Amino acid sequence: MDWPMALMLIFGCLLIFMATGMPIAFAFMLSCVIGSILFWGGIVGLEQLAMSFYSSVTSFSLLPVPLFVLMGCIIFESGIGMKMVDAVDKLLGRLPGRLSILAIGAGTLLGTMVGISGGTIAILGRSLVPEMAGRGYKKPMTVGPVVASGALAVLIPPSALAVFMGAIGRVSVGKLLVAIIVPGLLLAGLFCAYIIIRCMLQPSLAPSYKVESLPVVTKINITAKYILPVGFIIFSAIGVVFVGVATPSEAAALGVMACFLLAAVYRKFTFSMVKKSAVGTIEITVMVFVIIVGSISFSRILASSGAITGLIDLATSLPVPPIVIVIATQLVVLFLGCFMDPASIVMIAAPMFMPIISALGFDTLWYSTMLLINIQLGLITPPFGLDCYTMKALAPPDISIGDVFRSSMPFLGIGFLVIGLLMLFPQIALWLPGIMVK
Amino acid sequence: MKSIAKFWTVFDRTIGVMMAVSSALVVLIAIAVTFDVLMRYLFSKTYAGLFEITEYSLLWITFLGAPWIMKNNGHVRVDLIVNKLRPRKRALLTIIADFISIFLLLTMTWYTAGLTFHDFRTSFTLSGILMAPKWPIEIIIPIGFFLLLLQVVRHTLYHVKGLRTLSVDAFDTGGEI
Repeated sequence: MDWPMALMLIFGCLLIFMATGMPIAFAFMLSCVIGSILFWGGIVGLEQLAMSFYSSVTSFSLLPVPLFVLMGCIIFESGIGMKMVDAVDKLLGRLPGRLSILAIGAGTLLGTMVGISGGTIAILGRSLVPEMAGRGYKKPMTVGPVVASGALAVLIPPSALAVFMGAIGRVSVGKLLVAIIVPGLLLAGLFCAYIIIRCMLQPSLAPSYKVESLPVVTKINITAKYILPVGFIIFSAIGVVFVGVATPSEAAALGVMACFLLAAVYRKFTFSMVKKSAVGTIEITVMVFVIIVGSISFSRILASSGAITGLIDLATSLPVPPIVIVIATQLVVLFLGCFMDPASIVMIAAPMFMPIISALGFDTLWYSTMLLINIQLGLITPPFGLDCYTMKALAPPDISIGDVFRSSMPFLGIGFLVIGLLMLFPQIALWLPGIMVK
Repeated sequence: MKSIAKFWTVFDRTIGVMMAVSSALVVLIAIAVTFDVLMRYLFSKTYAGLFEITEYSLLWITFLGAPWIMKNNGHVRVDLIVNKLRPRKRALLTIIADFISIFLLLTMTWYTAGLTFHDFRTSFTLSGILMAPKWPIEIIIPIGFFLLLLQVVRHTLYHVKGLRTLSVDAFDTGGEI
């Protein structure tokens, strides 16, 4: 079978099975069953597939995923997360669009915990959006920031999605976690700048209300008590990787312990908190790992079918500048965001595009960073972006799907701007990992 | 009928216990890895087998938790197309997907159990420091697939019953029981 045929067949199966509404993990495994019979020597291929399942998740590089999620779950189950959001709320003072900025901040923080699906939107859509509407905030400043925060969540460490991208795309997980920091801060800064400037130009979008002004001493107190400790944990978890003291998995384990310790200091360390955090972690981890079981074998079959080499040959021989191919692959990812969750997109895109990108001579670390932002942007791109539909389902009934897309548009634009900047100046992503201690 | 109900009660309890073990494992890994790092820095001692044990644990976490997640509808699906269909077509498509899933899980249970049995008979050991026999580690895969199979059968029965009465509820929840 020639490779374009093989590629179409394997992907055709995957998409058809997915469309029936069965769990995505099953769709991957079914395509593997068909693929292994075709490309791994008939029925014997199924035995090889069984072996391939075993080796899929037994990988140390995946360990940071459950541990990062556990960190996030502890922070929220112990109530430290909400205290942090409250603290930020108090510190913002009378900043224009303060609740919108808070939504971005809370979404990013929450993203650590639920970073894998539209879960952040579910939580904020129910809690913060009604409050904002009550304060007279208009739609562009309520739903927009909440859906946009997802794009930020994958870039601010600890990011479970970045671990996947590294583990599946064979990029150093440690370096990738460091590489996303600067683009993440850039995106956060631009989001906030946009909100503040727009609210200054159109104060009616986010009417300012009376905020109790706090003395400086109280502000310092709040910062020291609620913001610094968690900030310290997150930064030290990445910091130890940066200075080469620990692997990402070890750093994540230390982070978990630090979170437990912090919960104990706040007198929130109870059995029920630990239990809830652990169960919450397993729910997310298993959901994704079951997909990995199928998708790793899927990419192995794709490789043996000759489709990957075929694609590489095609990409390297096309008479277009290599950057066009980079952009084309990013567009594919954007399209996948219309109907798939971020983890599944990583599992399809990483094994297929990474070999092409490195064959074209690009840095995979740089490419992964752009891919991560893009996957999240795909979820808010009209007309099908999945996250926007989640938002619509949760938002008050007077908000239409059009409203959600319109209000997320400026943030989408900023996201594309950052990807554009990354394309022009790869150093934004590559500088920090470059000075990492080996 | 009573014995069937009892069977599902036992089933639910089993997958509940498995979920609890899976949750405990993730916390234990975090503790063990931290302990190892501390030992390395404080006493320059490290337990070389830990690396392998954590890798095997990831497999167990996945397959211990999967049936429970299946029951609670936690597995991600693409519902964009299904939700657009009329109730009857949607019900039919769901049931077709159920039967395909049953076929898949039967195949997977069979082949992974076969592999485990083969490794047991040949006393296959894993390369590494621990030289662990492979079958006690991989046995969780057929167990996980088999329990997933039972849960999907349960969903299917529920869906078929829902098709007769065409209650939309049965399909909206994906068949939570």
